[in-house]
Amino acid sequence: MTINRPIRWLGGALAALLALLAVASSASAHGPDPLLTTQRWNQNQDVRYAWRSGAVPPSAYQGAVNAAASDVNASRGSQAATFGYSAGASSLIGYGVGATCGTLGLACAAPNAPTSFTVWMREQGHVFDWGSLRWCQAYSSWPDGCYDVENIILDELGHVEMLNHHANLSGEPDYLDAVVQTKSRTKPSAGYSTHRFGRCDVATLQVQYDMQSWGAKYSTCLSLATTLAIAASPTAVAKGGTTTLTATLKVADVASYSRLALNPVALRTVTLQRRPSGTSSWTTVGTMPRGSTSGTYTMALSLTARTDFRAVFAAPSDEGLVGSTSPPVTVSVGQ
Amino acid sequence: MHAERSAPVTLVLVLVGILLGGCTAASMSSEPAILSLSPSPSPVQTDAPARPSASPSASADPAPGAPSSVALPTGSPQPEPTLVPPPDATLAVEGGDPVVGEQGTWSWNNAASDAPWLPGYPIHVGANERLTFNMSDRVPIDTWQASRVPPTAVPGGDGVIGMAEGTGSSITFEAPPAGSWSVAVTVRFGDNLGDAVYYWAMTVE
Repeated sequence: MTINRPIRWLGGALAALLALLAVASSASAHGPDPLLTTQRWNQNQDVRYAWRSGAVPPSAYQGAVNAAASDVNASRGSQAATFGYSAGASSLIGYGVGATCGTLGLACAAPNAPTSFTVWMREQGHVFDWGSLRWCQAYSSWPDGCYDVENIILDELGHVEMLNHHANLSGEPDYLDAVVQTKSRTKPSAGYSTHRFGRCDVATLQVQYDMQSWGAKYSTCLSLATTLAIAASPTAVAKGGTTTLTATLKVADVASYSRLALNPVALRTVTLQRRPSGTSSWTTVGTMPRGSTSGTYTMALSLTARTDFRAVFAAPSDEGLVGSTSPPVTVSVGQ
Repeated sequence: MHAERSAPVTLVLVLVGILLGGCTAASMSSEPAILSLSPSPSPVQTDAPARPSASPSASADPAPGAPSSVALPTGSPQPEPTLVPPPDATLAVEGGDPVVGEQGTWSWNNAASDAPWLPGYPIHVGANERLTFNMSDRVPIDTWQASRVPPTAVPGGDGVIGMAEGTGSSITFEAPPAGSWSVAVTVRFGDNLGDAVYYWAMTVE
């Protein structure tokens, strides 16, 4: 036991440090998108929009707007609101000279969750100081310098969800990590026709609206600490008796994780390790099969000597979870 | 489907565009064929309110999943107040007059407006001079970033070169190398107030 104390202390300190780093990460330049507003839609709220009376987008643009709504629904990676067209809806999308976007805005959004929103897009040919606005969908062959309606409206619907502009790294090498950006791009610049949320858009949507399932992948724009615990039942067996080890993997309980805190983490790879009690070297037993409840992993073993066990969750490369190791549990063996 | 727009209508649109001279010569000369713009009145800017569209083409090609009877506008446009943007910002060299920046993309007061990389308002500076950025109002700034592109990259925004970044409301950075640049300063306001990008067409001598 005296050997375990410093290990436990170190483990606790490490977990706290990882949590702090994760919080710092979310506030630094390259992290999840910041928030435009603290007003959220309900989870999976089906938000309907209609065309603004007297400012109906041309038919070629209507299809692109509706495609952008579908892009939101397909790429939100969370329980964020979904969007779709319905006649008479209270949320309005308008097009034309009545746009309220200020002097130089191509498009703009004003969410009023969970009730309604407004989105505007400028009219084709609007004269700015840099030239005339050209929407790609106005042409049979998209010219260089045009703006893709679907991409721009996806950006606006990101605002409607509550996303603010992504904080890019200096020089913007991470521009493609978000659609909700501070500079709209034209054909053929990279990202001008992206039709799905970027990983840092999705990260904020996940934090604010939660995951679609416990087995779903967390955005790689996140860096969430996890906690892993292991329990044995029974903790004492006769020689040759069997104990069942159950590991429980969760997202750490950190305030900035909002709806993700304490989420069960299911369908991952959790490894069981063992060592004879009183020794220091761990041996891998194998991958623990999934348990009966979400985020649990179990394995039954027959023992002949007092043994320590621990569970290990290695940080996956394809999602934003930090690996963790459980404190050990000891199973004693009688004669 | 959209290429079926009648030639006379297209011709009128092109003529209106030429007469008003709103487009640059380059953009007009290389303008690809425009598809149906109905119910937009024309591809030119006007101060007149948007006309209600009575064009049947608006409902002849309804949005996927939308009833064909709903795309037609009814009545007059519903005027809305323009969204209120964040305060202006200035850039100045030591001893020089501050020059207001051209405001691009911003978020403020629970709304957002999106713009491309803008050319910016003219400012002349010397090489290696220190530039000082100030908000015209006392809006707190959490983080800021200065970057630039050559004028040829406006409004596309390709080839962004980072210049400086920092935290807090005291913002100074060094002028870029000699030449012409569109310089952007992106600021994130404190207290979750939003963000904004300000641009200057900078001539560095």
